Amino acid sequence: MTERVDARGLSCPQPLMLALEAMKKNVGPLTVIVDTESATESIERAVKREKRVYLIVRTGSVATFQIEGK
Amino acid sequence: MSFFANWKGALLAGTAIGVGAVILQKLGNPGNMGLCVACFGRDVSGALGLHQAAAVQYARPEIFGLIIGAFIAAIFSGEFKPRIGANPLIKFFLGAFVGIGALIFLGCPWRAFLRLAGGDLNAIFGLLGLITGIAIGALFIKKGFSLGVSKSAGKTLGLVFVIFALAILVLRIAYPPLEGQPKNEFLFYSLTGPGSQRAPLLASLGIALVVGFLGQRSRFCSVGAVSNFILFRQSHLLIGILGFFGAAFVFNLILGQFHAGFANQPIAHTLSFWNFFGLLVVGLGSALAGGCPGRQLFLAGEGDGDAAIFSLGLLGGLAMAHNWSLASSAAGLGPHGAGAGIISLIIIGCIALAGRQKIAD
Repeated sequence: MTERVDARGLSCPQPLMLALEAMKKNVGPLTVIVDTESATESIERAVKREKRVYLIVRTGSVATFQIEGK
Repeated sequence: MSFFANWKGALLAGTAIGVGAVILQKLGNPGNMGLCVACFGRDVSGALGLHQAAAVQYARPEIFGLIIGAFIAAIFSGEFKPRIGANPLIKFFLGAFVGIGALIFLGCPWRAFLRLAGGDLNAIFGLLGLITGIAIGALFIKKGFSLGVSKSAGKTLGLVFVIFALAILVLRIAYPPLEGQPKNEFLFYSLTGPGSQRAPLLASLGIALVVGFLGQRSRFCSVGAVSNFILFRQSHLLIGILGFFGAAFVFNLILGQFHAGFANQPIAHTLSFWNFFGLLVVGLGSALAGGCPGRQLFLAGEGDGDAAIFSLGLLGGLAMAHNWSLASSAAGLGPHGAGAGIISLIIIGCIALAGRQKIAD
Protein backbone atom coordinates (compact mmCIF):
# COMPACT_ATOMS: atom_id res chain seq x y z
CA MET A 1 0.00 0.00 0.00
CA THR A 2 1.42 3.36 -1.05
CA GLU A 3 1.53 5.93 1.70
CA ARG A 4 0.06 9.26 0.71
CA VAL A 5 0.94 12.74 1.95
CA ASP A 6 -1.40 15.53 0.90
CA ALA A 7 0.40 18.83 1.52
CA ARG A 8 -1.80 20.98 -0.68
CA GLY A 9 -2.51 24.44 0.70
CA LEU A 10 0.10 24.25 3.45
CA SER A 11 2.60 27.05 3.83
CA CYS A 12 6.38 26.83 3.96
CA PRO A 13 8.05 24.74 5.37
CA GLN A 14 5.25 22.27 6.11
CA PRO A 15 5.06 20.47 2.72
CA LEU A 16 8.79 19.74 2.75
CA MET A 17 8.66 18.70 6.39
CA LEU A 18 5.78 16.25 5.84
CA ALA A 19 7.41 14.82 2.71
CA LEU A 20 10.73 14.29 4.48
CA GLU A 21 9.12 12.76 7.56
CA ALA A 22 7.23 10.31 5.37
CA MET A 23 10.37 9.44 3.40
CA LYS A 24 12.40 8.89 6.56
CA LYS A 25 9.93 6.53 8.20
CA ASN A 26 8.91 4.80 5.00
CA VAL A 27 11.02 2.55 2.83
CA GLY A 28 8.06 1.66 0.61
CA PRO A 29 6.49 3.69 -2.19
CA LEU A 30 5.13 7.10 -1.37
CA THR A 31 2.85 9.65 -2.99
CA VAL A 32 3.23 13.34 -2.12
CA ILE A 33 0.81 15.96 -3.44
CA VAL A 34 1.58 19.69 -3.40
CA ASP A 35 0.12 22.71 -5.14
CA THR A 36 2.85 25.35 -5.24
CA GLU A 37 5.98 25.50 -7.38
CA SER A 38 8.13 26.43 -4.38
CA ALA A 39 7.04 23.28 -2.52
CA THR A 40 7.56 21.19 -5.67
CA GLU A 41 11.09 22.50 -6.05
CA SER A 42 12.08 22.01 -2.42
CA ILE A 43 10.65 18.48 -2.31
CA GLU A 44 12.35 17.57 -5.59
CA ARG A 45 15.67 18.68 -4.11
CA ALA A 46 15.02 16.59 -1.00
CA VAL A 47 13.96 13.50 -2.95
CA LYS A 48 17.11 13.73 -5.06
CA ARG A 49 19.22 14.04 -1.94
CA GLU A 50 17.54 10.96 -0.46
CA LYS A 51 18.48 9.21 -3.73
CA ARG A 52 14.93 7.97 -4.31
CA VAL A 53 13.57 7.25 -7.76
CA TYR A 54 10.62 9.51 -8.48
CA LEU A 55 8.20 10.79 -11.04
CA ILE A 56 6.26 14.06 -10.98
CA VAL A 57 2.79 14.12 -12.49
CA ARG A 58 1.39 17.60 -13.03
CA THR A 59 -2.28 18.41 -13.34
CA GLY A 60 -2.87 22.14 -13.47
CA SER A 61 -1.19 23.64 -10.44
CA VAL A 62 -1.06 20.33 -8.58
CA ALA A 63 2.14 18.28 -8.63
CA THR A 64 2.01 14.65 -7.53
CA PHE A 65 5.30 12.98 -6.62
CA GLN A 66 5.34 9.23 -7.09
CA ILE A 67 8.35 8.11 -5.12
CA GLU A 68 9.51 4.51 -5.39
CA GLY A 69 10.46 2.42 -2.39
CA LYS A 70 14.09 2.04 -1.41
CA MET B 1 13.40 22.44 -12.56
CA SER B 2 13.76 26.12 -13.33
CA PHE B 3 17.20 27.73 -13.32
CA PHE B 4 16.39 29.49 -10.05
CA ALA B 5 15.58 26.19 -8.35
CA ASN B 6 19.23 25.18 -8.38
CA TRP B 7 21.94 26.69 -6.23
CA LYS B 8 23.47 28.81 -8.98
CA GLY B 9 20.15 30.50 -9.59
CA ALA B 10 19.67 31.13 -5.88
CA LEU B 11 23.17 32.59 -5.61
CA LEU B 12 22.69 34.80 -8.65
CA ALA B 13 19.36 36.14 -7.42
CA GLY B 14 20.71 36.80 -3.92
CA THR B 15 23.78 38.54 -5.32
CA ALA B 16 21.69 40.75 -7.58
CA ILE B 17 19.41 41.72 -4.70
CA GLY B 18 22.42 42.62 -2.54
CA VAL B 19 24.00 44.73 -5.30
CA GLY B 20 20.68 46.45 -5.95
CA ALA B 21 20.29 47.37 -2.27
CA VAL B 22 23.77 48.84 -2.00
CA ILE B 23 23.34 50.84 -5.21
CA LEU B 24 20.12 52.32 -3.79
CA GLN B 25 22.10 53.42 -0.73
CA LYS B 26 24.66 55.08 -2.98
CA LEU B 27 21.87 56.80 -4.90
CA GLY B 28 20.34 58.37 -1.82
CA ASN B 29 18.47 55.86 0.35
CA PRO B 30 19.42 56.00 4.06
CA GLY B 31 22.56 54.29 5.33
CA ASN B 32 22.50 50.50 5.36
CA MET B 33 18.88 50.81 4.25
CA GLY B 34 18.97 50.24 0.52
CA LEU B 35 16.06 47.86 0.83
CA CYS B 36 14.20 47.34 4.09
CA VAL B 37 10.66 46.10 4.17
CA ALA B 38 10.03 47.28 7.74
CA CYS B 39 11.62 50.72 7.38
CA PHE B 40 10.06 51.35 3.99
CA GLY B 41 6.70 49.96 5.11
CA ARG B 42 6.89 52.40 7.98
CA ASP B 43 7.68 55.22 5.55
CA VAL B 44 4.72 54.21 3.38
CA SER B 45 2.37 54.18 6.36
CA GLY B 46 3.66 57.67 7.21
CA ALA B 47 3.17 58.87 3.64
CA LEU B 48 -0.45 57.76 3.88
CA GLY B 49 -0.83 59.60 7.18
CA LEU B 50 -1.30 56.47 9.28
CA HIS B 51 1.32 57.88 11.65
CA GLN B 52 2.62 61.41 12.15
CA ALA B 53 6.35 60.91 12.70
CA ALA B 54 7.48 63.64 10.30
CA ALA B 55 10.95 62.17 9.72
CA VAL B 56 9.73 58.87 8.30
CA GLN B 57 7.06 59.61 5.72
CA TYR B 58 7.64 58.63 2.10
CA ALA B 59 5.71 56.40 -0.28
CA ARG B 60 8.80 54.31 -1.08
CA PRO B 61 8.55 53.06 -4.65
CA GLU B 62 10.65 50.06 -3.57
CA ILE B 63 7.76 48.50 -1.65
CA PHE B 64 5.42 48.67 -4.64
CA GLY B 65 8.14 47.59 -7.04
CA LEU B 66 8.80 44.45 -4.98
CA ILE B 67 5.13 43.48 -5.11
CA ILE B 68 4.65 44.31 -8.78
CA GLY B 69 7.95 42.68 -9.81
CA ALA B 70 6.90 39.47 -8.08
CA PHE B 71 3.49 39.73 -9.74
CA ILE B 72 5.09 40.02 -13.19
CA ALA B 73 7.36 37.03 -12.46
CA ALA B 74 4.37 35.01 -11.29
CA ILE B 75 2.34 35.86 -14.39
CA PHE B 76 5.22 34.92 -16.70
CA SER B 77 5.91 31.63 -14.96
CA GLY B 78 2.27 30.64 -14.59
CA GLU B 79 2.58 30.87 -10.81
CA PHE B 80 -0.01 33.56 -10.25
CA LYS B 81 -2.40 31.55 -8.10
CA PRO B 82 -4.83 33.50 -5.95
CA ARG B 83 -5.37 31.67 -2.66
CA ILE B 84 -6.44 32.35 0.90
CA GLY B 85 -6.09 30.40 4.12
CA ALA B 86 -8.26 29.66 7.09
CA ASN B 87 -6.80 32.21 9.50
CA PRO B 88 -6.19 35.53 7.79
CA LEU B 89 -6.76 37.53 10.98
CA ILE B 90 -3.99 35.64 12.74
CA LYS B 91 -1.72 36.52 9.83
CA PHE B 92 -2.73 40.17 10.17
CA PHE B 93 -1.68 40.31 13.80
CA LEU B 94 1.50 38.31 13.21
CA GLY B 95 2.37 40.98 10.65
CA ALA B 96 1.59 43.76 13.11
CA PHE B 97 3.73 42.33 15.91
CA VAL B 98 6.56 41.52 13.51
CA GLY B 99 6.45 45.21 12.57
CA ILE B 100 6.74 46.28 16.20
CA GLY B 101 9.66 43.90 16.76
CA ALA B 102 11.42 45.14 13.63
CA LEU B 103 11.24 48.76 14.80
CA ILE B 104 12.75 47.83 18.17
CA PHE B 105 15.79 46.55 16.27
CA LEU B 106 15.39 49.14 13.47
CA GLY B 107 15.08 46.98 10.42
CA CYS B 108 13.67 43.84 8.88
CA PRO B 109 15.90 40.74 8.50
CA TRP B 110 17.12 42.01 5.12
CA ARG B 111 18.31 45.19 6.77
CA ALA B 112 20.01 43.20 9.52
CA PHE B 113 22.20 41.68 6.80
CA LEU B 114 22.64 45.05 5.08
CA ARG B 115 23.63 46.65 8.38
CA LEU B 116 26.26 44.00 9.02
CA ALA B 117 27.42 44.27 5.41
CA GLY B 118 27.94 47.99 6.03
CA GLY B 119 29.99 47.33 9.17
CA ASP B 120 27.25 47.90 11.78
CA LEU B 121 28.27 45.29 14.35
CA ASN B 122 25.09 45.83 16.39
CA ALA B 123 23.41 43.78 13.68
CA ILE B 124 25.23 40.70 14.97
CA PHE B 125 22.98 40.71 18.04
CA GLY B 126 19.98 41.24 15.81
CA LEU B 127 20.91 38.30 13.61
CA LEU B 128 21.48 36.09 16.65
CA GLY B 129 17.99 37.07 17.84
CA LEU B 130 16.58 36.38 14.40
CA ILE B 131 18.12 32.90 14.29
CA THR B 132 16.89 32.18 17.83
CA GLY B 133 13.37 33.30 16.95
CA ILE B 134 13.31 31.23 13.78
CA ALA B 135 14.66 28.19 15.66
CA ILE B 136 11.85 28.48 18.21
CA GLY B 137 9.33 28.87 15.39
CA ALA B 138 10.78 25.85 13.59
CA LEU B 139 10.40 23.82 16.77
CA PHE B 140 6.70 24.74 16.97
CA ILE B 141 6.24 23.83 13.29
CA LYS B 142 7.97 20.50 13.87
CA LYS B 143 5.60 19.87 16.78
CA GLY B 144 2.63 20.43 14.53
CA PHE B 145 1.99 24.18 14.45
CA SER B 146 -0.07 25.08 11.42
CA LEU B 147 -2.31 27.94 10.41
CA GLY B 148 -4.27 25.56 8.24
CA VAL B 149 -4.82 24.93 4.59
CA SER B 150 -5.03 27.61 1.88
CA LYS B 151 -7.65 27.20 -0.80
CA SER B 152 -7.53 28.65 -4.27
CA ALA B 153 -9.58 31.78 -4.76
CA GLY B 154 -10.83 33.94 -7.60
CA LYS B 155 -8.57 36.19 -9.65
CA THR B 156 -9.95 39.29 -7.91
CA LEU B 157 -8.54 38.22 -4.56
CA GLY B 158 -5.08 37.85 -6.04
CA LEU B 159 -5.23 41.11 -7.95
CA VAL B 160 -6.66 43.41 -5.31
CA PHE B 161 -3.44 43.83 -3.34
CA VAL B 162 -1.34 44.29 -6.48
CA ILE B 163 -3.78 46.98 -7.64
CA PHE B 164 -3.57 48.61 -4.18
CA ALA B 165 0.23 48.74 -4.52
CA LEU B 166 -0.05 50.06 -8.06
CA ALA B 167 -2.54 52.73 -6.98
CA ILE B 168 -0.23 54.17 -4.32
CA LEU B 169 2.68 54.00 -6.73
CA VAL B 170 0.62 55.99 -9.24
CA LEU B 171 -0.07 58.57 -6.53
CA ARG B 172 3.66 58.76 -5.81
CA ILE B 173 4.41 59.33 -9.50
CA ALA B 174 1.53 61.72 -10.20
CA TYR B 175 1.99 63.73 -7.00
CA PRO B 176 5.73 64.15 -6.42
CA PRO B 177 7.09 66.02 -3.39
CA LEU B 178 6.59 69.79 -3.45
CA GLU B 179 9.67 71.84 -2.60
CA GLY B 180 9.68 72.60 1.13
CA GLN B 181 6.17 71.20 1.65
CA PRO B 182 5.53 68.30 4.06
CA LYS B 183 2.43 67.19 2.17
CA ASN B 184 0.88 67.50 -1.25
CA GLU B 185 -2.69 66.71 -2.22
CA PHE B 186 -2.45 63.12 -1.01
CA LEU B 187 0.91 62.09 0.39
CA PHE B 188 3.18 63.17 3.21
CA TYR B 189 6.84 63.67 2.32
CA SER B 190 9.52 64.01 5.02
CA LEU B 191 11.60 67.18 4.74
CA THR B 192 14.30 65.90 7.10
CA GLY B 193 15.36 62.53 8.52
CA PRO B 194 15.43 59.08 6.87
CA GLY B 195 12.18 59.73 4.99
CA SER B 196 13.86 62.60 3.13
CA GLN B 197 16.77 60.41 2.03
CA ARG B 198 15.61 58.82 -1.16
CA ALA B 199 17.10 57.41 -4.33
CA PRO B 200 15.61 58.78 -7.58
CA LEU B 201 12.16 57.43 -8.34
CA LEU B 202 13.15 55.49 -11.45
CA ALA B 203 16.15 53.86 -9.77
CA SER B 204 14.07 52.86 -6.74
CA LEU B 205 11.31 51.47 -8.86
CA GLY B 206 13.51 49.80 -11.46
CA ILE B 207 15.73 48.02 -8.97
CA ALA B 208 12.76 46.96 -6.86
CA LEU B 209 10.99 45.52 -9.90
CA VAL B 210 14.06 43.43 -10.72
CA VAL B 211 14.42 42.37 -7.08
CA GLY B 212 10.72 41.46 -6.93
CA PHE B 213 11.08 39.41 -10.10
CA LEU B 214 14.20 37.57 -8.93
CA GLY B 215 12.84 37.19 -5.39
CA GLN B 216 9.71 35.49 -6.64
CA ARG B 217 11.60 33.18 -8.98
CA SER B 218 14.23 32.17 -6.42
CA ARG B 219 11.89 32.06 -3.33
CA PHE B 220 14.37 34.43 -1.64
CA CYS B 221 13.51 34.37 2.08
CA SER B 222 15.70 35.18 5.05
CA VAL B 223 13.51 33.25 7.46
CA GLY B 224 13.08 30.19 5.25
CA ALA B 225 16.85 30.18 4.70
CA VAL B 226 17.46 29.64 8.40
CA SER B 227 14.49 27.37 9.15
CA ASN B 228 15.14 25.07 6.16
CA PHE B 229 18.72 24.73 7.25
CA ILE B 230 17.85 24.05 10.90
CA LEU B 231 15.05 21.61 10.13
CA PHE B 232 16.29 19.80 7.03
CA ARG B 233 19.89 20.90 6.41
CA GLN B 234 18.61 22.26 3.08
CA SER B 235 20.87 25.12 2.11
CA HIS B 236 19.17 26.33 -1.06
CA LEU B 237 17.64 29.50 0.39
CA LEU B 238 20.67 30.06 2.61
CA ILE B 239 22.84 30.28 -0.50
CA GLY B 240 20.60 33.10 -1.73
CA ILE B 241 20.96 34.97 1.55
CA LEU B 242 24.72 34.45 1.65
CA GLY B 243 24.92 35.80 -1.91
CA PHE B 244 22.88 38.80 -0.79
CA PHE B 245 25.09 39.48 2.21
CA GLY B 246 28.35 38.82 0.36
CA ALA B 247 27.45 41.05 -2.57
CA ALA B 248 26.33 43.87 -0.25
CA PHE B 249 29.57 43.56 1.74
CA VAL B 250 31.83 43.62 -1.32
CA PHE B 251 29.95 46.48 -3.00
CA ASN B 252 29.98 48.51 0.22
CA LEU B 253 33.76 48.10 0.30
CA ILE B 254 34.05 49.13 -3.33
CA LEU B 255 31.79 52.17 -2.88
CA GLY B 256 33.42 53.23 0.39
CA GLN B 257 30.23 52.55 2.36
CA PHE B 258 31.78 50.11 4.86
CA HIS B 259 32.51 51.48 8.35
CA ALA B 260 32.99 48.83 11.03
CA GLY B 261 31.98 49.55 14.61
CA PHE B 262 29.16 49.73 17.12
CA ALA B 263 28.76 53.47 17.73
CA ASN B 264 27.38 56.07 15.34
CA GLN B 265 26.02 53.61 12.81
CA PRO B 266 23.29 54.95 10.54
CA ILE B 267 19.78 54.59 11.98
CA ALA B 268 20.83 52.14 14.67
CA HIS B 269 21.22 51.97 18.45
CA THR B 270 23.73 50.06 20.52
CA LEU B 271 21.42 48.26 22.98
CA SER B 272 22.57 44.70 22.33
CA PHE B 273 19.81 42.98 24.28
CA TRP B 274 17.05 44.88 22.50
CA ASN B 275 18.66 44.39 19.11
CA PHE B 276 18.58 40.67 19.89
CA PHE B 277 15.07 40.78 21.30
CA GLY B 278 13.54 42.84 18.48
CA LEU B 279 14.61 40.41 15.79
CA LEU B 280 13.75 37.42 17.98
CA VAL B 281 10.14 38.64 17.81
CA VAL B 282 10.50 39.10 14.05
CA GLY B 283 12.05 35.65 13.57
CA LEU B 284 9.41 33.82 15.57
CA GLY B 285 6.47 35.72 14.11
CA SER B 286 7.72 35.41 10.54
CA ALA B 287 8.52 31.71 10.89
CA LEU B 288 4.95 31.07 12.07
CA ALA B 289 3.62 33.16 9.18
CA GLY B 290 5.67 31.19 6.63
CA GLY B 291 8.20 33.81 5.53
CA CYS B 292 10.10 36.99 6.25
CA PRO B 293 8.43 40.36 5.55
CA GLY B 294 10.10 40.60 2.13
CA ARG B 295 9.02 37.10 1.17
CA GLN B 296 5.45 38.00 2.20
CA LEU B 297 5.49 40.81 -0.37
CA PHE B 298 6.65 38.38 -3.07
CA LEU B 299 3.95 35.88 -2.07
CA ALA B 300 1.35 38.66 -2.07
CA GLY B 301 2.44 39.43 -5.64
CA GLU B 302 1.77 35.76 -6.51
CA GLY B 303 -1.79 36.19 -5.29
CA ASP B 304 -1.39 34.80 -1.77
CA GLY B 305 -4.11 36.56 0.20
CA ASP B 306 -2.65 35.58 3.56
CA ALA B 307 0.67 37.17 2.67
CA ALA B 308 -1.15 40.32 1.57
CA ILE B 309 -2.98 40.43 4.90
CA PHE B 310 0.28 39.86 6.78
CA SER B 311 1.73 42.83 4.86
CA LEU B 312 -1.26 45.02 5.73
CA GLY B 313 -0.87 43.98 9.37
CA LEU B 314 2.79 44.90 9.12
CA LEU B 315 1.83 48.33 7.76
CA GLY B 316 -0.57 48.81 10.68
CA GLY B 317 1.91 47.60 13.31
CA LEU B 318 4.61 49.88 11.93
CA ALA B 319 2.25 52.86 12.10
CA MET B 320 1.22 52.05 15.67
CA ALA B 321 4.87 51.65 16.63
CA HIS B 322 5.26 55.37 15.92
CA ASN B 323 1.84 56.49 17.17
CA TRP B 324 2.50 54.84 20.54
CA SER B 325 6.25 55.60 20.75
CA LEU B 326 7.26 51.95 20.57
CA ALA B 327 9.85 52.40 17.83
CA SER B 328 13.52 52.80 18.64
CA SER B 329 15.72 55.57 17.29
CA ALA B 330 19.44 56.27 17.22
CA ALA B 331 19.01 57.47 20.82
CA GLY B 332 17.80 54.04 21.98
CA LEU B 333 14.48 52.42 22.80
CA GLY B 334 11.20 54.25 22.38
CA PRO B 335 9.49 55.23 25.68
CA HIS B 336 7.18 52.20 25.42
CA GLY B 337 9.46 50.00 23.35
CA ALA B 338 10.42 47.50 26.05
CA GLY B 339 6.85 46.81 27.12
CA ALA B 340 5.68 46.54 23.54
CA GLY B 341 8.44 44.07 22.72
CA ILE B 342 7.56 41.84 25.64
CA ILE B 343 3.83 41.97 24.89
CA SER B 344 4.53 41.18 21.21
CA LEU B 345 6.55 38.12 22.18
CA ILE B 346 3.86 36.92 24.61
CA ILE B 347 1.10 37.27 22.02
CA ILE B 348 3.09 35.56 19.27
CA GLY B 349 3.96 32.83 21.80
CA CYS B 350 0.25 32.34 22.55
CA ILE B 351 -0.50 32.06 18.81
CA ALA B 352 2.28 29.47 18.55
CA LEU B 353 0.85 27.44 21.44
CA ALA B 354 -2.73 27.71 20.21
CA GLY B 355 -1.69 26.69 16.69
CA ARG B 356 -0.42 23.40 18.01
CA GLN B 357 -3.97 22.58 19.06
CA LYS B 358 -5.01 23.33 15.50
CA ILE B 359 -6.79 26.63 15.30
CA ALA B 360 -6.91 25.44 11.75
CA ASP B 361 -9.68 22.88 12.02
